[in-house]
Amino acid sequence: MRKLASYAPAALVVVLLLALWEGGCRFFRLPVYVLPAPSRVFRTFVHDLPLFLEHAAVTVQEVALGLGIGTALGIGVAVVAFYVRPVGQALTPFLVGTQVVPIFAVAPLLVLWFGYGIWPKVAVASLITFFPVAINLLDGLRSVRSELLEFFQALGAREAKLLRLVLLPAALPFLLSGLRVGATLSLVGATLGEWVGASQGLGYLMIRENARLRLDRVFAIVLLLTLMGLGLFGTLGVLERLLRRRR
Amino acid sequence: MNPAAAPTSSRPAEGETALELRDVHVAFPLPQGALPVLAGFSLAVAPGEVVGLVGPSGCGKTTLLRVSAGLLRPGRGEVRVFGRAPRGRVAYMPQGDSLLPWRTALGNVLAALEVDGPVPPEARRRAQELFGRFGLSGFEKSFPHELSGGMRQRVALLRTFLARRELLLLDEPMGALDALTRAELQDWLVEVLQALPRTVVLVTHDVEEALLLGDRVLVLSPRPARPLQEVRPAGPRPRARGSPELQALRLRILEALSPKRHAQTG
Repeated sequence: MRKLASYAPAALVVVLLLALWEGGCRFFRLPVYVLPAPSRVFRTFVHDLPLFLEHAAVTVQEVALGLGIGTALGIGVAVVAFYVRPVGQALTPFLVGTQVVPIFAVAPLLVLWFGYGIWPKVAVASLITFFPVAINLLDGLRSVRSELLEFFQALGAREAKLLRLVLLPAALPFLLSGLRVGATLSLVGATLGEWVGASQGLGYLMIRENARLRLDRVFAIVLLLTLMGLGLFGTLGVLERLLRRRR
Repeated sequence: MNPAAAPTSSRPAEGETALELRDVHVAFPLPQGALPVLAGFSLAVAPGEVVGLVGPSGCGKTTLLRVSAGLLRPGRGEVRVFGRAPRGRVAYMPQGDSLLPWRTALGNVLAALEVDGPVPPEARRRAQELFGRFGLSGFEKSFPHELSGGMRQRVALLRTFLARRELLLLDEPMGALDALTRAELQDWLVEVLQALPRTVVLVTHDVEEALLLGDRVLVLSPRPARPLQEVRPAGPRPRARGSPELQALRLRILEALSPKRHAQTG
């Protein structure tokens, strides 16, 4: 109850803003191609949902593939960097590098290399996911308490067994924190990839409707993307909390 | 010599030694130079023997166990467990909380068996049966954080006992417990050792604990640890906690451990 009450001020601000927006649109009789009223956006959202979902399916596929590939790469790099210190040191600048390179600059190149299909977007999404996963997992592996390991080491467990029995499970919540950051960002990344060149996906649809001055649709897509991001973030957050509760 | 320190006849057949440390040297590198923790330490533990190690904190007891477990390579000297290198041949219970927090009590115990490969169903059943003997029945599916400190120690001990190794090395197995739980767990461990005899090296700073559990108690000097005295409590376990003999031995050990004495002996 108290937790619910703590959300009240934020909810109030949202309601006020929406009311102001709605009132402004009506008062100034703004056309849809300048600024659609929230009520209009909501109606479009419901009405065109089948169209949106069709394109959302493509975006979700890109994000899912990107998350999968980025996570797998991140795990691989983190484990190697954990065991081979020089590799970790050698890779760090590149890891950071992948994060500072503006995706906007790389996206056209990726389209050039991977074509118009889903792969350039998958590449962007995996690139974005990879870094937080690798860095967080490496942190997690390094923070495993030695008492947890020593019992198994004394019994003669080899590294692969230690990794499976102790290190990876211990570092799993760290990996999920990284994945949570990566997941939301990779949704943005995939959409961005679709802006640059695509024939499907929410990013593509946004650009198309924008050109047609159907701003109600553009806003509705933004709403859908927001909901998708929140859903992804929330799901991973719940998963992470379930895992952490046992620590 | 004190009768308690007289040679014992309980030693099994000659030939093999369960644990042998010969002239072991360990030094930790520090910015201001090497810190000797063990300087020429030797120890032989016979199969089936329970040896208690007591000593002032920081004297190198834990280092001794880690060397014996093969977790730490000595700078000089030799470590043998039944004549071979120690790694993989001992069950070592580290100090403090060493259970995997994401596994249930049973899962933690089974993890010890998983080291040697897939766990056959009958091993799983045996583990479950032992939960009763270890006073843990009904808690197989509990996570470590749901158990009391005493119960967590029992799970850790059960895991160590079940790991099918010839030698058990226990580092302060009742370290973080309140006095009552401790006493209770000590009595219980005596019973467990009766039912499941093992070769044990037990590190503790509780002199009474060492006397209640050990066939032999080794009193160690401050760092670098060397044996100051060897005490053999009379009679088989269980020994009466308050018996005058035990109290006399306890006082003798405490006196050997007191800093005043070290000042005299250098």
